[in-house]
Amino acid sequence: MQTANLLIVLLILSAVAYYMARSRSVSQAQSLGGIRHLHSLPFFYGMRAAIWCALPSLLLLVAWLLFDEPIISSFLISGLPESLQPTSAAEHNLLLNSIENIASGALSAEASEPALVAAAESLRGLRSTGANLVTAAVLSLSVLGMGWGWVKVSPILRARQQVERVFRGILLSCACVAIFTTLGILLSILFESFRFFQAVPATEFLFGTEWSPQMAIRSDQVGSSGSFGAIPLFVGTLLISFIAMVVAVPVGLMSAIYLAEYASPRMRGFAKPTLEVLAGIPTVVYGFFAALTVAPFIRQTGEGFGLQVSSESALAAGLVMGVMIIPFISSLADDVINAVPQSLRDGSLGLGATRSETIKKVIFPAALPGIVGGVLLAVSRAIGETMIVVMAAGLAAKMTANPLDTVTTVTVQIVTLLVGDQEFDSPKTLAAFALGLMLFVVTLVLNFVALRVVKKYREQYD
Amino acid sequence: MVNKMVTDIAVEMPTGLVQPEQENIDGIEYPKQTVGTPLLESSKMSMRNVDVFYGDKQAIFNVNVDVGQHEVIAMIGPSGCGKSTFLRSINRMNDTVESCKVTGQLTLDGEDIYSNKMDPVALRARVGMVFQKPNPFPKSIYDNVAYGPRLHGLASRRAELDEIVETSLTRAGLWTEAKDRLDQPGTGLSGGQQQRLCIARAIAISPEVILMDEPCSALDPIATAKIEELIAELSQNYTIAIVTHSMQQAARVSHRTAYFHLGRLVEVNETEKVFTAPEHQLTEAYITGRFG
Amino acid sequence: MTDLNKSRAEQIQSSLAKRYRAEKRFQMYGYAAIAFGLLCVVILFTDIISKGYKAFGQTYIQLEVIYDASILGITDVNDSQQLALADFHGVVKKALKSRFADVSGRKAKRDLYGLISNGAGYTLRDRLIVNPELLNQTETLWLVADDDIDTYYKSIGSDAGAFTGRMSEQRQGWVDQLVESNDVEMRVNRNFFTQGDSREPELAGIRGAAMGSLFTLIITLGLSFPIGVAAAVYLEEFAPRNRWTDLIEVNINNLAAVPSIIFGLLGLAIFINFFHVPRSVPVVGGLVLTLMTLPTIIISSRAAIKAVPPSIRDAAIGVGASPMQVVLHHVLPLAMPGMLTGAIIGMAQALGETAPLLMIGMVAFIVDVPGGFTDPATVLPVQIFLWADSPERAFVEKTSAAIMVLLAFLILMNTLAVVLRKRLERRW
Repeated sequence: MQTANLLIVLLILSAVAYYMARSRSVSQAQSLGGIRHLHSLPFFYGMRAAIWCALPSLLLLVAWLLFDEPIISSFLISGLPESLQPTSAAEHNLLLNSIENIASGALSAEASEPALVAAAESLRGLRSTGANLVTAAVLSLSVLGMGWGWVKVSPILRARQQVERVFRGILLSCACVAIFTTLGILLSILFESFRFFQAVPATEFLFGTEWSPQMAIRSDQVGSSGSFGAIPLFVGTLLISFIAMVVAVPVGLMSAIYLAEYASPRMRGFAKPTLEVLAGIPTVVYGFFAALTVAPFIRQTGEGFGLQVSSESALAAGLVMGVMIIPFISSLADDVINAVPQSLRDGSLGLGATRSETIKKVIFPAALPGIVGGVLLAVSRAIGETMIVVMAAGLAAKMTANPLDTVTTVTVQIVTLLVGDQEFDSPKTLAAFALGLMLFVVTLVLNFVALRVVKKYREQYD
Repeated sequence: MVNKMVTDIAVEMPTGLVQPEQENIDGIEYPKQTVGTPLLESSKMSMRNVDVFYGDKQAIFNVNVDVGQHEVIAMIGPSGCGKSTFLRSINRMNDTVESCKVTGQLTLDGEDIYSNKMDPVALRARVGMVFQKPNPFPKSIYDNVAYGPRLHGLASRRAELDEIVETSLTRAGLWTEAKDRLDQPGTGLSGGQQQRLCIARAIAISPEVILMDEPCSALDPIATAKIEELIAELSQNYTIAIVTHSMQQAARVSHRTAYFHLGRLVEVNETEKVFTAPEHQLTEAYITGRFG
Repeated sequence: MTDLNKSRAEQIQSSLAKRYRAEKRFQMYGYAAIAFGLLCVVILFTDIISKGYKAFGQTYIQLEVIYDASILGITDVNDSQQLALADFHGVVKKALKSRFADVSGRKAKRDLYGLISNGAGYTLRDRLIVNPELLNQTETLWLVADDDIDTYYKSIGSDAGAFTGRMSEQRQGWVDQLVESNDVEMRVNRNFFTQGDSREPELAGIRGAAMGSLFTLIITLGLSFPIGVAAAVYLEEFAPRNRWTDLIEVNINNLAAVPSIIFGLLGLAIFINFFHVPRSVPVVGGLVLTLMTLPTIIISSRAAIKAVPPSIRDAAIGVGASPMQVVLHHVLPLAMPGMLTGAIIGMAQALGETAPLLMIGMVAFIVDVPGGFTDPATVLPVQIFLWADSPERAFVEKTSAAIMVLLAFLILMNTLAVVLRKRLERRW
C-alpha cells in the first residue's frame, strides 16, 4: 500500500481506538457513579489507546522508509554471481543503477546481462513483497495496539500519567533534533573528510599553497596536477572578509551610537527599520548587485585612474558583503550600548564632559567586550557567506593582498566542487567536505568565543 | 556646627510657630512665601521663581532659595517631592532629559546659569555632582579621578595630574587605602570606598559647589558615618547642597535645612531650628514622623 | 570668583572650543554613517527596479499567418500525434518571408526568421487545437518577438540609446518597418508569470521556481514549526537544569550561527547519499531548510513562552491542572502570537536561502512547473542565481524582475509579521 494511504488508514485506526477506549472508560465510570471515580479523564484513556495504536506502527513505518533501499540493494548485490560483484563503491552504484533501469524499462532487457535481468526481476519481487510485508506488519501492529489499549481500560489505570510521559518523550525528542543535527553535521563532514585525507595528506591540504583540484579521470590524462593546498583559499577568504569588516564595523558602530545617543525618537523610528531592510535582503540579490553593478563600476573607476582592476575584484565582493553585515553589527552594538547603565553616563556628564567625550571615554570602553563579541560574530558570518562571493568573486586561487585582484574563497570552492557532475568519491568532491570541516570548525570557535564574551559582558551589567 | 558667617548675614526672623499667609492647594495648607531664612544677603548660588516641568506635569513650584558660600544646606522632604529634580536643575543635568523644562532665574556668583552664554559643560566643571548609587567608571582608580582634569585640560604634565589625583583622594579620605592600588579597577572597591572615589572624582576638577543626591542611601552605617565626616571637612573648601531622606543625617551635617513638600519649598532655616522648633506645621508634621 | 577660580575657568574655557569642534565632528561621523546605510538601501532598490521593471512588458510582432497544411504536414487536424510533430515554425517562417518578400540569401533569411521567438510555434499549435477549422486559413495574430528584438525595442528612446549589440543594420531596418506599420506592440509579459524556465529569455518565467518555493516552504513550515514549538516547550517547561539540557541549549545557539552552506553539505551527505532521497525535489529542500530554520524558531518560541507570566502557570497548577494541561490549555495559546511571528520571520529567511539548496541539486535546469512535492523543482533564489549567469542581456532584465518578485514576497511576509505582532501583542 502506498505510504500516504497507509498513513491515512493509521489515522483512522487511531481515531477508532480513541473512541472505543474512551467510551469503555465512560461506561465503566457510569457503573461506579460518575467520571470522578476514574483516575483520569476519559480523554486520557482514549488518547492512551490511540497512542498504542499509532506509535509503534509509525515507528516501524518510518524505519522501513529509511532503510528499505539499503537492505534491498544489499540483498540484490549478494545474489549476483561472483563475476559481477562490484569492487568499488562506484561500481556498486553503477550496478544498482543498471538493475533499476532494467526494472523500469529504461534499459532494454534483451541487451543486458542475463544475471542483471534476473536481478531486476527479483528487485520487483523484493519490492512488492517488502511493501506487502510492511503493510501487513503496520496494520497488525496497530490493531494489536488498539486491542491492548481497549483491554487495559479500568478505573485504576493511571492513563493520564502514561499519556503525559509519552507527551514529554515526544517533546524531548524534538528538542534532541538539534543535537542530532549537530551530530549529523559532524559525522557527515568528518566521515567524508577522513576519506579525503586518506587520498591527500592533511599537511598538504593545510599548508599547501597551490590549489588546483583537477583530478585525472583517466590514468593517462595530462595536465591534471590535482594539488589541494588550501592556503590561497584561506587568504582569499580573509581578504574579502577583511574588506567587508572595514566597511561594516565603522558604519555599523557609528550608526548604532548615533541612533542610541543622539537621534530623536522620530529619526530612530525611521532609520532603524530602514537599516534593518538591509538585513532582510537575500544574499543572492546582493550577489547579483555585486556582480552586475558594483564590479563594473569599480572596474571603470579604477581604469579611469589607470589601475589594473579585475572584473571580479575582491573589492566588489567585500564592499557588498560589508553592506550586508552593517545591520548585523548595528543591532548588536545597539543592544550592547543600551545595556550600559545610565548612571555611568550621568557620572560623566556631571563632571562636565560633552556627549561625544562621554561616548568615547566612558561608554565605548565599558561596552567594548560586547562590541568585540558582536564583531567576532560578524566575522564568522562573513567567512561563511556563500552567494555573494560565488557570484562576484572568482574561481582562480590566487594568493594576493591586492583588493583589485580576483581571489577565491573557501565557500566558492565548496560550491564549485559539488555543483558539478563529479562522481561522489573522487578526492575532488571529497575536498569540498574537508573545506566544509575547516569552515565549520573556524566558525564554531569564533561563535563560541563571541557568545561567551557577550554573556560575560551582560552579566556584568545585570 | 553652625557656621558663624551664615548666621551673621541671615535675615533675622521672629522665633515661634508663625502663621504666615496660607494658601490651600489640593487640600494642603501651604505658606504663600517660604517660611524662615530662604534668602541670604550674599550667596554663592541663588534661585528665584524656579519652576520645573516634565512635559505637562509640573514638579517644582516657584522655589526661592539661596545657598551661602561654604555652607552645607540639606534638602529634606517625603519621597517624590522633587528634591532630586531641583538639585539636578542646579547643574543643568536636567538638560539631558528630553521632556524637562526649567524656568526661573538660577545664578552662580551672580551669573545666570541658564543663559545662552553659559556653557553647561563649563558650568558642570564649577558645580559638581555625587550620585545616589556610587558610579565609578570601569577604569582604574587613578583614571577615575584623573578623568575630569584630563577632560578640561587642567594638568599639562603627568606630575601635575599625579598631584591632583593625590590631593583629591586625600581630601576624600581615600588616599591611604588607595595609594597602593591606583591602577586597579575602581569597581573593585567596597560600596563606601566607591562613593568616596566618586567624591574624589568630583573634587578633582576643583568645583566651587558640590551637589550630593542622597550619597549615603546605598551604603552601610559605617561607610555613611565616614562620608558624613567627609562632608564636614569638605565644607571648609566647598559649598555643598545635599539631598537626603534621613533627617538625622541632615541634622548631623548641615548648617541650613530646606524642607520640600510635593514640589513646594515650605521652610528654610538653621538646621537646629528646623528640627527643634520648626516654623510651619507641615515641617513639624514631617519631622515628627506623621508622614514620609 | 577668586583668582584661582578665574585662572581655572580660563583654562577650561580655552579648551572648550576644541572640545566642541570634536563633538561636532563626532556627530557628523554618526550622521554620515546612517546616511551611508540609507543610501545603500536606496541605491540597491533603484538599481534593481530600474533594471527589472521593463521585464514586465514583452514585445509582440503582428504577422499574417497561413496555417498551410502542406508546410505543417498535417492530414488530419484532430490527430494529436500529427499535431505534436507538425512544423509550426515553418508556418512562421513562411509568414515572415511573405512580409519581407525581398529578403534573399541564407544568412539574411536566417536573420529574418530570428525576428520571432522559437516558442511562437506553440502559440500557433494551441490556436489550431482550439480552432481546428483554422487549417489552411489565414489569421493575423500577435506573436512573441525574439529576445534580441525585445531588447532593441525596449531600448529605443532610452538615455543610453538603442542597444544594437546583436542587431545588424538590416534587422534594425526590418524592425523599423514593422514599427512604422504599427505591427510592433508592447504587452504585459504574461509568460513571466505563467511559464517555467527556458533557454529563450522571452519565454522564461518564474512559475516553476515560484511553485517550487511554495512546496518547499510548505514542507519547511510543516516540519519546523511543530518540532520547533515542541522543543521550545520542552526546554522552557519541562527540562530539568542539568548538563544534558545545557548541551542542547548550546547546540541550538551554535546551530543558529552555522553558515548555511554546511547544512547543504549535511543534506547532501545524509539525505541524498545515505537515505537516497531523490535530488532536486521540494522534499529534500524542505528537510534541509527545516534543519536551518529550526534554531530560529526555537529561540523565538522560547522568548514567546518566557513572556507568559508565571502567575498564569501558578493559577493553573493551583486548580489542579497537570503539566501537560498547563502547557496545552494556557501557555501555548498565550504564547502563540509570538511564535507565529517568529515562524513567519523564519519562513522569510528560508525563502531567501540559496546556498544549501545548490548543494542538494536544486540547481538543475527544470522546465516543467512542479505539480507536487516529489517533482523535480527549483526555488526562486536559485532561479535568480541561474539566470544571473546567462549571457543574454534580456536575462539581466528577467533576473531583476524575479528579484523584485522575491523582495515583494519578503516585504509582504515581514510586514505581516510586524502587523501580527502589533495586533496580538499583550501587555502583561
